[in-house]
Amino acid sequence: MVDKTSQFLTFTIADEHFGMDLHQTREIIEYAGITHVPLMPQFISGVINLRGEVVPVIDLSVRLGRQPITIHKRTCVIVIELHSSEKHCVLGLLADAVNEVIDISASDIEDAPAFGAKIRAEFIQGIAKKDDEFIVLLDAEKTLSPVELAHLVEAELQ
Amino acid sequence: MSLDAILQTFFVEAQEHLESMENMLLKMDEGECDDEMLNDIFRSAHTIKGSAGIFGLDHIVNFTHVVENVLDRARDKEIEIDTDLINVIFKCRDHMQSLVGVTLDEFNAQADLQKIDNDLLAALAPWASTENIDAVKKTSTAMESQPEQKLTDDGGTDKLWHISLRLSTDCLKNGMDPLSFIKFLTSLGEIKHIETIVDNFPSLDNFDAESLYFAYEIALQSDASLEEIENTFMFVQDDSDITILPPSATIGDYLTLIDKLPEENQRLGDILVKCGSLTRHSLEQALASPSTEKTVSEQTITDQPDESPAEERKDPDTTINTALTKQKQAKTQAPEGKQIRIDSSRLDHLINLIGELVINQQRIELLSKDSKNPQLVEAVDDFDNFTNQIRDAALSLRMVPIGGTFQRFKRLVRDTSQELGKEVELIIDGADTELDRLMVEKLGDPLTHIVRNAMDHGLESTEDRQAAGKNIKGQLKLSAYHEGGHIVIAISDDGNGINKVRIREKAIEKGIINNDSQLSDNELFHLIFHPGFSTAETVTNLSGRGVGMDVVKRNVEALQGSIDISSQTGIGSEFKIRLPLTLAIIDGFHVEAKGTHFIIPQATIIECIDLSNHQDIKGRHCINLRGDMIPYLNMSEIFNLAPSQKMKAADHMTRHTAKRELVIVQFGSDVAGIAVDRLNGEIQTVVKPLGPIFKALKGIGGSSLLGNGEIAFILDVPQLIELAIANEIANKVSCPESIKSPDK
Repeated sequence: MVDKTSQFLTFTIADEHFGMDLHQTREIIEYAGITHVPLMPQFISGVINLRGEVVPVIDLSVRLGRQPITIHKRTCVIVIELHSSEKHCVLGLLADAVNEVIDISASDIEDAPAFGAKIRAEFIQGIAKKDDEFIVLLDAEKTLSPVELAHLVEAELQ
Repeated sequence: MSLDAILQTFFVEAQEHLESMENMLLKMDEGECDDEMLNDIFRSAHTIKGSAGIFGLDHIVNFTHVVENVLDRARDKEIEIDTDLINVIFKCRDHMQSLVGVTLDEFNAQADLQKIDNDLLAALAPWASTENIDAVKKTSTAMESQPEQKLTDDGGTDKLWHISLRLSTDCLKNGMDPLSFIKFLTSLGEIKHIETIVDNFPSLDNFDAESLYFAYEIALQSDASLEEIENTFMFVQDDSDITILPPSATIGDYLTLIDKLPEENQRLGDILVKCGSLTRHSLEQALASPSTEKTVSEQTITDQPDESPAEERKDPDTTINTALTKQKQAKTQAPEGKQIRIDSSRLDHLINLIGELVINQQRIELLSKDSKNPQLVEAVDDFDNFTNQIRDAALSLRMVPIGGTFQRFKRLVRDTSQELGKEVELIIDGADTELDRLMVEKLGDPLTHIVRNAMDHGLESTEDRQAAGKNIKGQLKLSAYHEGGHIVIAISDDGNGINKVRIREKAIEKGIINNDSQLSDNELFHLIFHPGFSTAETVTNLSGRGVGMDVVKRNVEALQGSIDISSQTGIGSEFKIRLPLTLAIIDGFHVEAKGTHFIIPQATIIECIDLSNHQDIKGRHCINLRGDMIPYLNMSEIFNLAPSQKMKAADHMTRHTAKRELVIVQFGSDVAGIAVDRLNGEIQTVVKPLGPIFKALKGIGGSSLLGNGEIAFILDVPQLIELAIANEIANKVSCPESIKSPDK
């Protein structure tokens, strides 16, 4: 039996391990300040200048229902690219640390538990286990859907 | 060029022809009809038919053929042009437009299209003629137009064209089948003879099944014009060698052809004789003629060694010269003389790159100033100058005159006025005012809504106008002009004006405003942009459903524009759409509030004043500026800005000397102040859209990068003022009106 493996970029936010499909990530840059956008909900940290492109940066931690991330020396921004929405969309994610790129075979990915993960189930693509650590594999398209984010911003501004 | 690309050319050209047909028809409808216009319409229809034939789009060919027939009869004054005919041709034009949009298969599958097809053909029937009469007529025109002396005088070769086809080897690869051209020629006339020349056929080893090795000599008996025959080959003429000799061609023309072709002269001569284009006698005479004497060595490079006895020819120089002159003539006749078509995405890419250039230039300027090297500063200044010129030149590429858009409304106004039974005259002013292409595209819908509304609700019925002592013909005016860094598009009518009382009643009824709301005229008029608002007594299929005007407002705002309405009862109304000159790069004024950078579009700024020298009036956010009461808003309040850590430290140091600046802006008739912490000066900046996530954020139209790489937000002044009003209303501050229209 041929097992399909996919590559995931793993990162840490507040001691929790997350993974994201490598194809959706574009680059990782050092956190070098951010421009706050007025009146935005907490999950939008602001915008950064990525070589001439103005890119929104999301505090993934808030988006997943946790406390806002604490900025420190090693905070980094994972730049991801979403293709599914009508226009391709570039976003930055704040992370405490980026760990490694790992191969995970499909059989090692388990379905998200119905509850207990404290993350909306649709955000989770699956749970993988690596070195006794659980890695929550996020579905970037759902977690960071520009349409949904825009709705949330609209709701905040009402 | 792939077949798709060629088809694309066909669509674009068909579209252009349909547009020109429409324009001509509209002119004819207005009563100015001359032969040239008819000819234009005929040519457009004919070209569409011709090109469609090449692609085997028979549904277009069949329909257009009948239209063309009627047009031809009108051209020959066999039938009278009246409103009925123009109406039918209008419909036919529209149908042709739908036909161009579908493939043959789609057409066969769509019964409704076929029904329109049949209905229109039936409608055309009274004007259509039998083919015979038509042919006779055509013959006579063809005769008249070719007074030149004919080569042969025996009747059998009358109107016998000679076509020499040397198609490019890649013809088949490009999706062009020579057979389809030949087939199409049969629709223009009768092919008397085809000689296929296979001289180029390679040995079997070198044979490529996808290459074309055949050349053709065709004798065509046809009443068609040279242009019509040439059009047959318009998709291959660029890389093929096609010579079309008219029936009136002289022996010299044939000799030129023989010279030009690579094949052996005597053989070609024989072929021409076989085709019936030349008689044996005249050929021999011509080839032997002493005036055409030449030696083998003088032959053009493409010629193969010619050993036939009849090798004397015309002097090659003369031949080449005549050929060159001909080419030149053909070129000057070509319609796309000085224009090129570019894919708009390539243009956008260029503009983006120039945007980056402008940002980089600003960075260099900043660095050069820091360096305090006068020579560098000077060089950068020059660079700056050129960058600006490049920017302006590139942006001008995107500008197109609004006239094309206005032109389309002639048709709309015509149809709508017929439908409504109102007489309406459309006046167009400032058609050459240039606008960003993007805006032109997005303006179509809003303008259509406003024009329809003006015709439906604004202009009164003929009886009412008569009773009011007005000209029976209603007037609708579309104009475009520049005004203080903006472009204004105004739509005005001389109708009854907007009924304020009805708007008020309706707004109260719909619960949009309260019974006791005090509204200025401007605010009252703006209620019509409220979703679901419509005051029309009856709902017509044109307007009155209350959808539309809110879309109009949204579309205009999406273009960073605004709409003003003015109206006087009994005299008329005017809608003014105000738009920025361009969307890509703006001249702005860089300000700071609590460490956040903002850019205020320069065009909106009247002046800057020092706020600390002015006292607030009675605790409100209003100041007295030379006798005018100017309301102002605080940037830090409206955007809820908290000072950054860096700023806090800096603030502490400068607390005592902290100045507050006020930028006075104007938008439409509103004047307001924006209070900021610091003015940083003028800046030329590239607009970077903030992306879909921030769509709901009001007051900020986009972002921009500063020379030092920091991000600044571009203020959308009208939205900002709206936001301030909304906030005040929400906070139940005593004077919600004060922020708006202070000059009233």
